[in-house]
Amino acid sequence: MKQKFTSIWQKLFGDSVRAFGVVSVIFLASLAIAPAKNFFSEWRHYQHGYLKTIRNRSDANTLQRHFKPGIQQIWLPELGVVDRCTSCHVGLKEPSLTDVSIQPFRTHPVIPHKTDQFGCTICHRGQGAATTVAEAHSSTLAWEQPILPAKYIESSCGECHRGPLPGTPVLNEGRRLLSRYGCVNCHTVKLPDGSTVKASDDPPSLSHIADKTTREWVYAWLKDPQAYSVSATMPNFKLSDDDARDISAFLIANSTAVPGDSATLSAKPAADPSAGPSLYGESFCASCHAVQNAAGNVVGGDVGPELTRIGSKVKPEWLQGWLKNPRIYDPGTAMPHYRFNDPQVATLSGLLLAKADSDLLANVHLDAATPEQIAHGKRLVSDYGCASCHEITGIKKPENFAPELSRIGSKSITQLIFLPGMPHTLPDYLAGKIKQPRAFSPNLRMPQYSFTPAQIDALTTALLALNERSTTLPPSLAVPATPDSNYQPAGKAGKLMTDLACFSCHRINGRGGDMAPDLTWEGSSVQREWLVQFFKNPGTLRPALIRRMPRFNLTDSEITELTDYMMTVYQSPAVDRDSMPLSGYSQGEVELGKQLFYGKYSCQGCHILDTKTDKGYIGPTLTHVGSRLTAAWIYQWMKNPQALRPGTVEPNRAMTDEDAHALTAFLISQKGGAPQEVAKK
Amino acid sequence: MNRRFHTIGTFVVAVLATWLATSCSRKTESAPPAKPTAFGAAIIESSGGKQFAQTGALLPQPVVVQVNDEQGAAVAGALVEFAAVPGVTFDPASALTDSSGQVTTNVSLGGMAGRYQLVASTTDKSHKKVELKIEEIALSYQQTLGRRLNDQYCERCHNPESTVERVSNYDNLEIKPHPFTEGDTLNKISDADLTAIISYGGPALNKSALMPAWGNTLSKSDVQALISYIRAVSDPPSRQAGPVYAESGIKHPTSWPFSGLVKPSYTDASFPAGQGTEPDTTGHNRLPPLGKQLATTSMRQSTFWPFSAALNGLILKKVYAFTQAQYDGEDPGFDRHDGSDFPFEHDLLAAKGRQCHA
Repeated sequence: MKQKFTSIWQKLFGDSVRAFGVVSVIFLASLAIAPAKNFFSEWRHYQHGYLKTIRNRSDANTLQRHFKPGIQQIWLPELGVVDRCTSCHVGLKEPSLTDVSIQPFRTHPVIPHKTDQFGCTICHRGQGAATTVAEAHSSTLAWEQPILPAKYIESSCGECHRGPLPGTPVLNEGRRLLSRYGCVNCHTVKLPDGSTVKASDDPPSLSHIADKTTREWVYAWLKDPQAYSVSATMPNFKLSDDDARDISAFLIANSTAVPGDSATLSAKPAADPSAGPSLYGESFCASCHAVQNAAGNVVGGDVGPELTRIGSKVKPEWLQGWLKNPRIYDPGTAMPHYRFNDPQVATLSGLLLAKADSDLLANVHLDAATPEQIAHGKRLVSDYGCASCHEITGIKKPENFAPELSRIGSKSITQLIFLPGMPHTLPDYLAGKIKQPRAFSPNLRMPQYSFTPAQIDALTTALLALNERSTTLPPSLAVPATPDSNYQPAGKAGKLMTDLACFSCHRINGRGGDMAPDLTWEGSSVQREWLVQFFKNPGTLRPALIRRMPRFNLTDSEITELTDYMMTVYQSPAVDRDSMPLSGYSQGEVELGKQLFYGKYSCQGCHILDTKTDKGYIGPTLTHVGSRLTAAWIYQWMKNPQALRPGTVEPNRAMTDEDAHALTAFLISQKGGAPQEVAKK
Repeated sequence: MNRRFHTIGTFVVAVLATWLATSCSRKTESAPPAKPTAFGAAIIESSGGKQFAQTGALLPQPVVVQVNDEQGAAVAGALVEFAAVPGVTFDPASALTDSSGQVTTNVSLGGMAGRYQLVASTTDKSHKKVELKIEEIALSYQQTLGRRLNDQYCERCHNPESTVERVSNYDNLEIKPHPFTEGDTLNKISDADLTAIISYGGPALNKSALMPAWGNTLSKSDVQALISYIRAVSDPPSRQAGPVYAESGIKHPTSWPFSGLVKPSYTDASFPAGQGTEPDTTGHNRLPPLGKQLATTSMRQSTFWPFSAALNGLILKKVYAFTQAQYDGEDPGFDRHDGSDFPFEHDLLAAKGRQCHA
């Protein structure tokens, strides 16, 4: 062995000339390494593949002309983009390659931005300057941001677009959930514009909880909120029996009474067993409150809490007081003050109290609370940060209770602790943490939420959008969200509108819900007499709608107050309601309008004007439109509906003045003989 | 002399060892499928076929399949496995049927728009594979936008089905509109004609005036988005929607000697969906980014890679040891408000092996 090596050594380097020759050959060979490495590079392989792929296509000549060999680069200094992705993704900008399903040659799907202006990594992340697939796509070793999985891609939209976008449903939902599930009550989320994300979950105050419910219910709720109501947003804190016992003891002991929030009624519930359900239906409780049906589906709105087992929760006197006037117990509630009379309250509370689940509290037996238990409960309430969400007498809302999430989307994975078996990427970590926080450590205080897999993806997308780059991008790129409106109507009418919680359903001047029509310009739109009648007896305008305006039993003076305010204040500058008369149009105009209605514009497809012939279910019924709307509003609406109510479904038909005028004349003549009948679903 | 050969020998061995250590191939380990306790004869779809979802997103409803025996009765305990092109994920990918003979799986589609074919399979008594093919549709950005417009404007008339929230107007119309899934009719209408009907109304093509003109309400790109959505959901598929995405694609260089030490670990899934990365329990990912960058960039930028590779292997080890030691001295700043601690191992060999599957 040794001899052999010695002889080889002798042969190669034995004398100086031979040694020189051998060293030269080695030197030349090593010089060849760099060109060889370049020649056999990956991108060259893909470019060859691309040329082979397009060779037999009918548009081969065009594609070949567009093809540029060599490393391609998109360089955008102001965005920090150096993207060489197009070296391999050669057909990115070739629309004719939509039928090619192999990567890296597919054409990019249509998006609102150009790759020349934004590059690739702005949206997809990854390492743009890399020229090998592994380094560009999945290297977390040299680069903190591997390529973003497709399901989270909308997070990149959120770096610039701070408000909801029509094309990013997942991001929009994620952002909504961050507020709706109260994540931001504990985790501060500051946006790049300096504002803080606000919670929209409106958790109830616990300061007067003993008025409302029993300690047994609090205990059962704390143990498993979803056992009481499957749609509860309250997470499960996985409390031990003793901890739940002590917290419930503290909350009840700590509760103070609110004078007048409970009522004892002398009235008896209506004898007719169908009176309760029919009052529940007439009051449109289901527009806001859901109930789980026999099949297990939760049916109804999600503005208020689910009522499936409400009878096991509330004390009867409290419920009656609440139904009489919810604002005594909770001045900020989204529930309207219905102005029910005593028999109605008795009937409705009878119905609700019957919605009980005897199993819920069957196994809850709590002894009287000891002072030690109460003290321990208080400590637990502080430890778990209950006051981050709920108002509790004597406990301050903790500041920075949980880590701030303002830049979570660029958290370095070196700072994260992964579970065994979990892929080492930030999205996987975030999704894992949201899915099962306590899996990371049983001592963590973050509770267990009951999110669906799709909700977890949406939340992860929203969190990934909260990153460093969203702050460093040029400010000109930022598309701010529409600022929240804190519009508050003034005076007596304003107080009345708060009392009736109009904003829970209606939007006015940018504030309020989207369940019912926007009332910003209601004063220009409707006639006064109609509005008065509508408040007295709200009929339905849209036959196919299941959520309708409830009747609030308003007094005449209240109706006058509201009507006067709305007719005076809610006027559109674009519509002068007195500019066109409500009658006196010529028969010819009306006739022409009728022809246009049924012929050229075929309005009967969506509207019912004559209940015998028309069937359209989409727009409001027009049988009485002449006594409902003002002529000026109809005319402007014909000209451009979206200008009056953005986003309305009615298409803008770009009518001529004559057509619009004739249709206005025809519609305003539809006064409807008999009082408007309530259409049945 | 003796010592020199020793050194050379050590060097050669070191080079080989580094080569081997750094070129180890990535294998994804999946849990072995459960053992079936029963066998069926047929597999049928219960629900979840023909759904639409955005690219990469979860399908709104899970896919449910059922295994039946020869008599058509449900079989519990049969093994069902789901498969599709790379990029599609199943949760779970295989499971035993429950007491009602069913298996439910959550599916997220791949990163490309198009039609995806999912295959659910089970084995019968003679160990023959029984398959069920299910088709799902992934929508691109434009198609998602079109879908939103469809939901807002079109579906009220064009979809005969009613939901709790939306009563269909289809039955109220004298002349029935075409549901967008009606590929037999809609595929024959060109994009230009569809654009004309949407923008200028039915009369533009001598059709019913019940179809209003949307050209002043929707922008041109809105109309394009709508058409791309209509093409995407039509049944039978429209040619324009692209082929069923199931091709394996171009052969990627899997063992590429000249692309440096970091081997491409590229699959046809095009965008790794977060799966396939090996579990890493060693904690070596705590290495600070600077150290990593130093370690890897110096390795790549050298032209004399075979030599530098070996050297770098050693340098890397030193860098790791150094930074890890530094790092361990400090509080890493985790969100550890509960005061709990986590065990770490400092396995340097594993740290080096990580290069392959980074």
